[in-house]
Amino acid sequence: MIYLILLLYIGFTFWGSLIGAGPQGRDPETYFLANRNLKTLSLFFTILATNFSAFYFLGFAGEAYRIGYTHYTIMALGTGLASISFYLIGSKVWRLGQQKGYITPAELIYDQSGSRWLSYLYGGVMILFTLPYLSLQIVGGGYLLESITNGQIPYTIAVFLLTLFTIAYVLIGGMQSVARTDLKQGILMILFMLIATVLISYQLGGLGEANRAVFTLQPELFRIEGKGAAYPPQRWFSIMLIWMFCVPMFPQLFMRFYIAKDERHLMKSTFLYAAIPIIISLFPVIIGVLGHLSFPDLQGKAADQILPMMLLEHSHEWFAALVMVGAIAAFMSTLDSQLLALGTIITRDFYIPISGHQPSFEQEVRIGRIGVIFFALIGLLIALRPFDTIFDMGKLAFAGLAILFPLSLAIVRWGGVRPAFGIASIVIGEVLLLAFYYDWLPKAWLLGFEAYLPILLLGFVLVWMGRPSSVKKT
Amino acid sequence: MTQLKHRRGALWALLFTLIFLLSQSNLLIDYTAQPGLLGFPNWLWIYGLIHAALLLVLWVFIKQYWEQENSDDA
Repeated sequence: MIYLILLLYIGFTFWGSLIGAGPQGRDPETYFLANRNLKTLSLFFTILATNFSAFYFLGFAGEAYRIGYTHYTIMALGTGLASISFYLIGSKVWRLGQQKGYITPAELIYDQSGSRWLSYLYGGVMILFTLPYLSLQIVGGGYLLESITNGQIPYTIAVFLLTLFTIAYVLIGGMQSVARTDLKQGILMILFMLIATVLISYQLGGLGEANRAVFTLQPELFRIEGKGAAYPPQRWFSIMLIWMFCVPMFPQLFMRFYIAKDERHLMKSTFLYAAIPIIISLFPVIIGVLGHLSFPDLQGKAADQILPMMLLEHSHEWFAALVMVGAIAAFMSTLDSQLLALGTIITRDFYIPISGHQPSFEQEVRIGRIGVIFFALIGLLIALRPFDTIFDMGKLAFAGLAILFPLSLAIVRWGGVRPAFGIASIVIGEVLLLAFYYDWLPKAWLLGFEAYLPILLLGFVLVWMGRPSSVKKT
Repeated sequence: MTQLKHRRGALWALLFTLIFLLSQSNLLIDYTAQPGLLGFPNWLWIYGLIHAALLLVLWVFIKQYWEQENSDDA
């Protein structure tokens, strides 16, 4: 039964999207950017697909289990606030992309700054910090596939299978088919998660009753600062801000800014992006919190499995399988966007400038495909031994990408930046971030704020000092 | 014209900053954990309203921005 659902779902979402993708993908603009022709709904769902990841399904539910309802507010409102930076960065990126024909983020940085080293650094950081986030999709898919098959497909085999499948899909399709999959996936998953939440709440005596029962057991899960005061004011402030800086810096999302048919569609998608989290972020969080009624003693990483555990406990086996297969497909659709973005970056921002050779479209796609395979295998290696919880691996990736924001804003809004200042903002920022992550620097220096916050502030100061006008005056 | 654009820009920046400051209201208000409607803590509904305010401001902003861009193009 489960295998049949798996096959049917994959057939519907993935193979259906491949039909017609081959003949249309005859030039880089079509293959990598869907011919810059996406309208509001397709654009919105392909942007939303970045959210429909393992971080959303497993990470949200797991973190809600650990700390409570505060996780919903931080994620929903934080993501809503990110839409402001879609205007700040996105609309300008769209315009520049239309005028100059950019395909990757670093092409814009190179063309606007004139510095190849800055563009290498920018592209390199995008690749480096997308890898942990990319591997999360494989980790999440592996957990779920193992769960729904009752261990018949063990985690190690599951992550291999999912990686191979995604590689094959990206190699055949390109952006056009990725966007089609995202649309179908998005609509299905919103429906599935809504039904799952209603079903689980109903099984536990109704949402109000179930919530009150959890409150009796664990009142801390209902505090705004979360269980164990997980979100003191400094951390609350930091996490509420991070989305504004990191979301537009996901390479797969930055490239989405180029693919809007026109600015109006981009703006409408921005509004939808701010609106939808108010509803969809609630589903996994409710399931995570109610998880305490059925599985009261999960600790640490084990809580990342609460969503599949609750589905299997409180719904019919076929429905649990359907939601989990849908979630796996959602991870794969996030993964394929990330792989396609990284494959494009390695080809256009590294191979072409370093070799000094302009390949034909076929050669370019071939090199991109080698990049896709290479990065998928690195993601697989990380997934075989995850180095942190899903939430914390995601947070490291987000912080690393957010450090690119000050430079990006300076380039598109402040009339550029002197390359040395741009390079300094990234290098100093990333070194400091890793120093705090690995405890080479004492966290007490941060006064309770997340490390990226003072680092971003420093980045803004550096790029402000490096504005061309400020250099002329001094 | 440029001055008017700058003034409008400053107004929007102020409005979005205000929404962000509302998201930090837990610094000043001691929200209780007591469950309310549907068993959710009451502060969750208050933050839902702040999110709704963000959407309202964003909607008007996008509308005005788009009209402004069109009039500039004309």
